[in-house]
Amino acid sequence: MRRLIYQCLVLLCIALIPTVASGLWHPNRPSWQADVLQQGEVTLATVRAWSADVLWLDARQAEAYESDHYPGALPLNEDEWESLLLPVLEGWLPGTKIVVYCDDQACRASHDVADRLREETGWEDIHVLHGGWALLAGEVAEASSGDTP
Amino acid sequence: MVSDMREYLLIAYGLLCCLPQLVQAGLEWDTRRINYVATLSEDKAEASFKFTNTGEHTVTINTSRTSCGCTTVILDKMEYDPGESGDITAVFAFGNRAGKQHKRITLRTSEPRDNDKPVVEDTHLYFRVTIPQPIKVRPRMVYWKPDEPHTPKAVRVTIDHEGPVNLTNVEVDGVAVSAEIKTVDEGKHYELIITPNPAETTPVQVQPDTQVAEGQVESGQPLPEPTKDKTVISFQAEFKEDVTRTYTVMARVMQAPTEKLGVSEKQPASEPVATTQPIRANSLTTVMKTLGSRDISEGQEAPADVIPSDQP
Repeated sequence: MRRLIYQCLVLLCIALIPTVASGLWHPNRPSWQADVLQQGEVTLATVRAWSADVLWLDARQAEAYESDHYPGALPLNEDEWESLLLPVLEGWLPGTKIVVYCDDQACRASHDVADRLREETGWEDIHVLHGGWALLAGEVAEASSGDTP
Repeated sequence: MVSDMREYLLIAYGLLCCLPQLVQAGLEWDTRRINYVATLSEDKAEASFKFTNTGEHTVTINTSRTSCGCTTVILDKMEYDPGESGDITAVFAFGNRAGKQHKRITLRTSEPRDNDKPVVEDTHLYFRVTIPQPIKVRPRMVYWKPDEPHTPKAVRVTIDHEGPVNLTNVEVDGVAVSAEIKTVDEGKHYELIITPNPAETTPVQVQPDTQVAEGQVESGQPLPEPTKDKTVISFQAEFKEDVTRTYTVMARVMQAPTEKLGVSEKQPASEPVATTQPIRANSLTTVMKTLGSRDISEGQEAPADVIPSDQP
């Protein structure tokens, strides 16, 4: 019996090697801490601290954008990329930073839009808002409730 | 030594057989990953994920969630008895997407167990679609800063498609630049040569009371009226599959405003002005051009007046 347990342990240890390796190096591994900034992401506090002009891009679906969006944000999603891209090109100036957001932390659309925009234009100062619309919505609601007398 | 090894292998086999049974709920999937390569004429793709309830209890599919609004899930029913098979169809509408697309479908299932407490489990299905990108146009925008000489710039048009492709109908919607297509490597690589028209890029007078442009929210300062600096250049590509696509590039010949009133405090006075108002199409120049009429052999130097764009 002891021998069997020993053999099971040895096999489990062997299985542990690829497990640890994929946990450390697999490109699609889940993050250990959900709140860690992914590559290309910035926090709202960082954006607020920038002195440069910021062009906000909303990567959510058209209906969500029409329902509500960050003040001044332009829509840009891959469903209607070609028609939405031109206003973005018009709104950009050298030195402008771009911040893309989508629904929430689990949403990948903002990363996809940022990657594609980077690839198609060559612009480098493109960032993804950590937390997305879920974070901005509260702020927008607060601002609009403050506006009402 | 050999018997030891045999024993190890037997135990490993036993563990491999037992572990999935311990961790999996009742639904057993034929496959959880489907790859699909789309053709140029397709605008959506479907994938059918088949499964069987191999457990001893009825499995209920509570929710389905996709990683993108472009993907929808079709389910015949939500409850599957032991031994019953079914399938879930994922429909991915391409929109304007191109290249490799990874779509994830997450199903939340519940299955009652002996102690009546249901076991809830998330299952991920992956639909990977490669959407053809027969033509790449890079960069999508070229610009000239106010202090930059108005020399021509080139936009690369790279073709990755089997069979002949005709580039036609080069249209310049605006007056700031003119454009033409040059062949660099027949059937593979072309250049859209864009040249500013100096006489047509005179800036208009800057007004202090104009509205803040959409998108420029952080400055909070009024921005000037548009200058005649933006031009949209478009051309069409005709493919053998009887598909025609239109590609656009924006060219901007930036002008320093003649007065500094209204420029955002964050912008240096020498920086160009911004606007998102529609471009005024004062003229529409149509240059019909079919590829191959002006060949430049591979490796041959481009004409001296053509400077490939090295800017974003």
